[in-house]
Amino acid sequence: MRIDKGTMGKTPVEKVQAMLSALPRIEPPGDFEVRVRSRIAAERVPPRAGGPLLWAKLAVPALAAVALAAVFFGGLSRENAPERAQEAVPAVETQPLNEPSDDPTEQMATQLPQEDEIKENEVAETATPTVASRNSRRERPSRVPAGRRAAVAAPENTEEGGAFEEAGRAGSRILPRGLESIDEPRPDAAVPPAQTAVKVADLLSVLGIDAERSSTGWKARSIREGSVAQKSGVQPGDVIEAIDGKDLSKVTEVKGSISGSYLQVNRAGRSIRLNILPK
Amino acid sequence: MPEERLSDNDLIIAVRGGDEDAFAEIVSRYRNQITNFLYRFLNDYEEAVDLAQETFVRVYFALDRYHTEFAFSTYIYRIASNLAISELRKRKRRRLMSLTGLFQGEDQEAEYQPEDGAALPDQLLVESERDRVIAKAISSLPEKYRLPIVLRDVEQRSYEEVASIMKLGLGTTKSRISRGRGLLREKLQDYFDEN
Repeated sequence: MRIDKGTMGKTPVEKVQAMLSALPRIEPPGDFEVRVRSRIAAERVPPRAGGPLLWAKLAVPALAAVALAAVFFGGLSRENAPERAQEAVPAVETQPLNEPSDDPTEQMATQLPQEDEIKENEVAETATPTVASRNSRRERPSRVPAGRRAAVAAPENTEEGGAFEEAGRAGSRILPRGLESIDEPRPDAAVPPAQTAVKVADLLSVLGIDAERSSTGWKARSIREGSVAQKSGVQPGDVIEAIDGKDLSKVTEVKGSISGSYLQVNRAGRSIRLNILPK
Repeated sequence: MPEERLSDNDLIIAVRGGDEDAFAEIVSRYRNQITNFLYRFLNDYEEAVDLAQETFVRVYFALDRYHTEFAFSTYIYRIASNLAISELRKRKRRRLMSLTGLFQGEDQEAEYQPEDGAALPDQLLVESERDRVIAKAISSLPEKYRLPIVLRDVEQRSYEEVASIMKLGLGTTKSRISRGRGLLREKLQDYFDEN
């Protein structure tokens, strides 16, 4: 160990003081300010109650219950079952749910949709507009074949991981913080999200890309370890040209709905598409 | 960006008026200080950077509540200190569960400090052995001594400002700093003997 001449002749306490003041100064990384801005942008819109995982946690058991009831009891009516069951369950033999049945197994089957309705109502009470907007997605024509939809409705592990996986498959993407905030309207946002401009640099930072603007797009200087971008295959030096088909090459801000599905990047002169994978 | 250097309070007024560049200037002025302070307090680089960012986020959203009669540096250090103390207590709650009994007794100086598992930046990879010994000694100090020591002897804040940041009386602050230095001297005794 080297002898520190600067502390010679001093009392031990003075030596301590001198050593502390001589400690090297530690600096933050270069993208510090970008990250701060990104966090501020994300915090500006308060998170919805429970977030997407809460929705998935409520939805998946309900879907599974309905699907199981349909498979084992075959007593669900497409007309009276909740909207979610209509989408998830293929056409089955119909029986009016309102009519009382003497068969206890059929009674159980008819109770399941009611439970589903209750959960729907609970969600609606806590965050009605947001959930309603999510629900409105389900009204869109599904691109998933009907047979496959039925399979999706009954995940094997519905307690923990099942919810996340199910949500991902069913079209409710789990998005990085910040992206989801501009995806759907929020009742408490000061400005309707469709009109909210988000800085491209902040958007990319949320994905884990520290980028600078170039003539052809946004050139990735570095990719944050463990980030969505890294998982999705973005590499330093890639030029981000577009996100979800929205051209980023000539803009510094983006408006409107971005679901965060894919990036179009230019790598060594070749334009490639990278699907954005959840973290 | 204005050419002449504005005071912190001028910048805050500008931020309140919607000037984002003024906030960038605040970040630029304090990011190194706050990161260094948090690093020396927590001895964890990743955590220090994360909490430094959180400090600025909180400052941004709380600027309307900031009273300009107080020094801004005091205000931002206080926010950072609260975050750091909160983080330290969270760590202890998380990890002391399985270590109950190790530190029973009167000697509270034997406080458990979790290992620093964070990746270090390049500049720290060349940190001297002496600096590592000192950093370890600091991080083994109890929180009530560590905070004033880092503020006073590492960050070179005045006694008055340290007292204000910690919301303590001046006498108590000086006493803790003195006690903290004494503890550090004991912890570094071997090092002194070697030299």
